[in-house]
Amino acid sequence: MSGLLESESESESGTEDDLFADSIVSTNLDAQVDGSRLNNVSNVNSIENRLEQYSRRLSLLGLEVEHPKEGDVTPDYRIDITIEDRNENSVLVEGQNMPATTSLILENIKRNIDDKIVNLDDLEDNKLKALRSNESQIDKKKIQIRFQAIGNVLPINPNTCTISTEQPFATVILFVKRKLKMKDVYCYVNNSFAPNPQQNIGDLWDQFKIGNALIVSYCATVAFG
Amino acid sequence: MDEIRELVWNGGLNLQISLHPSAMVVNHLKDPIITNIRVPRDCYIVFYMKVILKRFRNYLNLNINESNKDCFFWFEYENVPLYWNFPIGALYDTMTNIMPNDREEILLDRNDHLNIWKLELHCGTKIPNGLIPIIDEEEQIRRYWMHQWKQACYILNGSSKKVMSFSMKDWQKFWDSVKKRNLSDFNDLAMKVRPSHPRNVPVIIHLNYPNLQKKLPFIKIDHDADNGHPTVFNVLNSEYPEIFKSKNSSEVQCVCNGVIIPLEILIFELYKRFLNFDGFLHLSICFSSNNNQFN
Repeated sequence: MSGLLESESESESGTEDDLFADSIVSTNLDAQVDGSRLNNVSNVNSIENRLEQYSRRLSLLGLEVEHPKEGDVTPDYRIDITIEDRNENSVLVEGQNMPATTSLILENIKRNIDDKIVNLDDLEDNKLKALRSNESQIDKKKIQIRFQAIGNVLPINPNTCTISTEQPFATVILFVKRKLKMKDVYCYVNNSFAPNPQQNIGDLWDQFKIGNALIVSYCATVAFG
Repeated sequence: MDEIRELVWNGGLNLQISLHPSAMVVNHLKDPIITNIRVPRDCYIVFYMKVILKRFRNYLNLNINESNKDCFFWFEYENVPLYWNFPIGALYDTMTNIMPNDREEILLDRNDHLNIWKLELHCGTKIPNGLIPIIDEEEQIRRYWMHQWKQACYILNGSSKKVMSFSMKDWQKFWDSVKKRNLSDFNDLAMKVRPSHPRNVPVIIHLNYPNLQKKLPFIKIDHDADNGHPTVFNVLNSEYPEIFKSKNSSEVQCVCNGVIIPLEILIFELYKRFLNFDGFLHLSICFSSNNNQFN
């Protein structure tokens, strides 16, 4: 097992600098093709077989990650999930605007709401400011996600990523899809349920984290009903 | 308790749906095409999509009997798209922000003698940002609802085992109870998921200020501690300390299934009576629309 871990670490450190390397698939394919100068179809098949074996071994390793060994998962291997806002695939679910009548009603009482919110004596006002700045820090906080492949799906390398708490779960789904170049992917939290894609990641992390990470497992087909 | 469950379960909402020009055949563009429908508060509005489309079939610019995979239908309220994947009652309470007590007065001012929510049905090839497209009709909606229950079960019990062990027959009975509005079947199965001593309570808070947002708060119940059972106020105060500063504020209220909720009630007691059909308790935060209260 330790041999396996080393080989994983090596491959990880290989892609460490290249944060958005297209995927582990292409990286390894290239490396192996270059290394052994295999160009014909049958050899590609054998590479696929080897990749499958490699993926299976990595899946096994994935299970071990529950109790990470020293140096196994370090911040160095983490990458940041940021999805560019491409029009056709935009998934950023910001708060919706309000309907006109509602906003009118609220506009009328807005001053009162704001008054009510800020109508505090200085001491409390300061407390509130501190609270607000804390909140904004929390909002900007990034949390950890650990990916687990289910079945015969390629692992995501490195398997731990960080993401801003404000993002919806759809960002994670899109990240997995792009990373693995898959058309459809099914993502689950804690091997149990598929959350609403509009759900805020920070809320999910608060509620379902194990250790310090949200465990997201993914599969090419339906895995949990 | 049974009586409250029954009242919540049978709560209804009057909808008036007009057809947006994007979905109309050209000949009828000048006529307002509307239909009225009463739906249960505790359901997804898309359950009634087929009925509504059928009523509009003569005016739609596409044939509803053919598969139109590139075309999506969705509802909007004053140009704001409705997220179909939340109970329609919770959306109404949040998006109109009319406190239950003020509804009669405000609606009469607008010459509406009945409490009606006016929505628009839109059609297009590109669905508004943030909406979940429906590509597999009822099956997709059923699966989404099942996963909501799995999530709720996880929050209540610390794992989804209880619902995972449901047989196919149980799931079918559960789904039928929602579709056919059979409260006793629904309660039978919901009770199997709900423990008497839950770990956490599954709640979704809908807020409309400063914009529409949903929050899944982490509500832990500590059965050993004296004050381990949080009240509605404890939850709202910890999530929105700026808005819920005191229990006695009349400007802001917590509304659930169209009812103003006393803030001192224990959140799990409220959950037992007011839970929605997706296993979550949906709370809407409403600001008082009566200006006199502020003067």
